[in-house]
Amino acid sequence: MDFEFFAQLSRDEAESFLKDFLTAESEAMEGMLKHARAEGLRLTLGVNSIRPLFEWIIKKVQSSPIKPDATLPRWLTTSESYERGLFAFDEASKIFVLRGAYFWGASFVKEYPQLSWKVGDDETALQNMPVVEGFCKNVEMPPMLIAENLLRRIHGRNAPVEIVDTAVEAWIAKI
Amino acid sequence: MHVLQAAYGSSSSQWSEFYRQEVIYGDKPPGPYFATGEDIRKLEPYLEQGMFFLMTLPLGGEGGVLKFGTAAKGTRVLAIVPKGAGPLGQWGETRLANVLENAGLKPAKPFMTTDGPRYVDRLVNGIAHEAKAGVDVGLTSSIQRQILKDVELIETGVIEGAHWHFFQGADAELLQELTKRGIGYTVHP
Repeated sequence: MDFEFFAQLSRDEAESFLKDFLTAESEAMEGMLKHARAEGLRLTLGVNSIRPLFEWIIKKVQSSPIKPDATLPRWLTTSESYERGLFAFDEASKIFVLRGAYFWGASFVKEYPQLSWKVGDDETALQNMPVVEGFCKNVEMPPMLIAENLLRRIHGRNAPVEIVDTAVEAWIAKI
Repeated sequence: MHVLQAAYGSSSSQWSEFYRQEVIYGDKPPGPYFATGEDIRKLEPYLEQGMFFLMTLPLGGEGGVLKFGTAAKGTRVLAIVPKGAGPLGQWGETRLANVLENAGLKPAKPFMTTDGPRYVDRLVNGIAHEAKAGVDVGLTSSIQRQILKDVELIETGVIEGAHWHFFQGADAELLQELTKRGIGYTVHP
């Protein structure tokens, strides 16, 4: 996630980004669900559908290797964690990540009335990102960040798809 | 002909690739690219030749109406979309999706956990790198809390993973705890 991009946004720009995200992805959702249906996967918006959707998405995403960042310190770039993360999703895959992110957030908002979309808190690393609020201790849920991280772990680090269930349950526990 | 839409981004290497493709082939780019303010200045001669438009549309657009103009020096970002494309739909999503992935940074602000804020030393490709410079760092209650905060952030998907670095040694107990919690580490010589 490009944290610096969000950090540089004004509050109005961040609100505009959130609005665009919700508009574009809600419009794209039916097409994605239709696509999934055509491949035998029937999904309705809801937290129980998140894992099946991510399983479906993970079969679609593709990535290509990226070069190490020469500006980073050597102690960091020589770690296995860094080396295994040297890949980037292609453009089409990023769209799937984006749609997975929307599905994630919208599923929670649909099922739990106390949750709602908002712009991330200025005082945290999630500042100006689309987030969902209403969790305990004012912790905010960043669906774009979550979708990207989980799909990267499954795709690039061979994590089991069950990490999606773990994350969903962890967020439900915070409500 | 393409429209350059003021949006966001910072990868000059990707921009250079586009730059060459345009000059050599004069064909449409295969996807969105980004430019820094310096790279935008490289584009100016082509602007004069009418090869490009720079769109200074603010994020979010204005009801789908594209505005054309030249980008001022220092404009932060460009993304390329086909001329005539609206702000939403596939290309709009492409613009939104370009905020995914990032080379790395030192976040100035913390991630929030149910046990309070977690300040990350470096965040690179989703991995939170924690640097410990103390001598034989032990598993204190403070360190234990940091570990549990990392675990929470990983489990909830807020970070992709965590990796701790020790520059003057670490106690075996601490290393065992990191392993148990699924956190990578390196004890640097």
